[in-house]
Amino acid sequence: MYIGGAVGIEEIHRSSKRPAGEMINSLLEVRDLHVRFHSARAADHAAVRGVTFEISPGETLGLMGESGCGKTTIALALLGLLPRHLSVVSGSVHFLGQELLSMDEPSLQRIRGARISLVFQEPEISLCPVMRVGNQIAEVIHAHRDWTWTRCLEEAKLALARLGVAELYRAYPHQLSGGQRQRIVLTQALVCGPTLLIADEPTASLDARARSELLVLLRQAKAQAGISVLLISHDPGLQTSLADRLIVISRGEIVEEGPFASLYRNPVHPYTRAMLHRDRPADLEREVDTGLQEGKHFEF
Amino acid sequence: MSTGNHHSLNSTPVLNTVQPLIHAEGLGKQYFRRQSFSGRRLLVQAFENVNLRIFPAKTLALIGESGAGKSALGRCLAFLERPTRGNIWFEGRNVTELKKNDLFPLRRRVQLVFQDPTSALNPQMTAEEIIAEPLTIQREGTRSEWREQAVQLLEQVGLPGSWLRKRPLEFSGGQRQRLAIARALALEPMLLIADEAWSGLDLLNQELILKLFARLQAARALTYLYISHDLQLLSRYSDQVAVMYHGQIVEQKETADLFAHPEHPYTRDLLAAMPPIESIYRERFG
Repeated sequence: MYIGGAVGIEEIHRSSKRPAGEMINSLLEVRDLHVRFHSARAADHAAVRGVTFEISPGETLGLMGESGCGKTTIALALLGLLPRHLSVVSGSVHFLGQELLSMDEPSLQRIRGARISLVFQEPEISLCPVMRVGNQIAEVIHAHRDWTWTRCLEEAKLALARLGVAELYRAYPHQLSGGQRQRIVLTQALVCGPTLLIADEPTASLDARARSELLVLLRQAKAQAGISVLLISHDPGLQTSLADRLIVISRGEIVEEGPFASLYRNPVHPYTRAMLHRDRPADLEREVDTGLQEGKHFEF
Repeated sequence: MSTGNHHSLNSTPVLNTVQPLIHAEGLGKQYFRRQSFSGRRLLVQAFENVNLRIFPAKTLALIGESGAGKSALGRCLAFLERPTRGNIWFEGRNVTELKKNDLFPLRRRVQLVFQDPTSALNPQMTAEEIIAEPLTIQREGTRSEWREQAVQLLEQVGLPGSWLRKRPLEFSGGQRQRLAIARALALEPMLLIADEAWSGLDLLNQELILKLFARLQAARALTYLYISHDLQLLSRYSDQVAVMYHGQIVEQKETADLFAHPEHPYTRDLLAAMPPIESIYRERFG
């Protein structure tokens, strides 16, 4: 599934600019990230306020939070994908020893899709409706490798075969189900062997069956290639299956973080409690009921 | 396919004399799509052979994955599109062949709330203008009456009445959706169709929106059609569930019955793919 395999620890050490003797523990270091959005009408909006976290090689960091809390903004900010004239990003994002926030666009393009990949909620956004999906996977390979187009096509076919869906190669996106489309998008994201995968609500538009299929794929990616994952999802089942550590974000700030098992057993913040124990809807319903009764105008 | 209260149209109803609010029989929708480059026209079947009954003050959840045809069905039931086959009865009256002018007063009885409140709300309009817009379209009442109603509706959805002059972008996602619901209620509809109206929101907001719907249902005897892919969430808020797969309804039952005795393989798959989180946790961490 992964052309050339994911970058190993040795290569991380080699490519880093730090002195040779120093051990690197993190793949990605985010320090004091701030994002402000400009708006013509309203006051400037601080979407992300001083967020700091790290991701180690091979680790899956889960990110949970209410809608509008800044989760997607963080993901976009990491890769320099926020519109520059509408946003101000400050802080530091270190990836393999390089500072991403001050990187120029051509260098960022070499990283996106090849070192750090991003998967969104709606596969329809990521896939071109008028191209066969096999070609779309080949396109990603072609952008990052010095290979002939024919070779890229062959590798794309192989990647699909490894997923057990070689027959989808000639399909157009609209001919596939939502779950199949998301698998194509995931293939695109993983095909160049990135070290970090950022998945932003990858299962939100899928039904239960497609969701569990995607979960299997993500688990496979984690186990086989030692890939690190930043998993942004309010799906507690997904986080429970995959996350090693978890951070909970509310209104642009981290309100709780730690090893997943600890947060699951002893959640502190009410939002953490509500999200992880959704199976016990009584807790969640009680929160909402009290709020409705007290006439609270829910802030979230 | 089996329904809790199903009985043949030809026989005299024995147990149940309540008439469904909306009733669809043999409903189908197809449309032409032009294939790119070749210019050939493809016939796309959005859904076919749909039989559905929704009873007054009850909630039916229509479950299926994206592309299954549920939104298209929702739009036909909201009289926004015409089916290409079959019939729809509303309050016992066959409304399938009604002309546009006759359909106009009917449209206020059925309102639709969509998934993305941001694109459903005009960012240039104030909350008051948004909520009152249906009233202005149906031409009833005075401006001060509209303002009063707007305040009441805002409060009914748990937003401060003083927010009349705010614009949608000043609201959070969940609040925007509540604004969209307030607008949907302005004309006092009988049937509310919510198409993934909670899907873009986080868990707390999802519960809040559904609880809000439930509270409004109790207060106004509203009838609901919930369209979603999330069976687990909706099972706690619906009386009946209809499962849709590739444009057909494959199973329709009272909610508890569906969970206890699923018949169709697709339904079984759906139920099997929803293990409780506790067991996922145990399996992974011991």
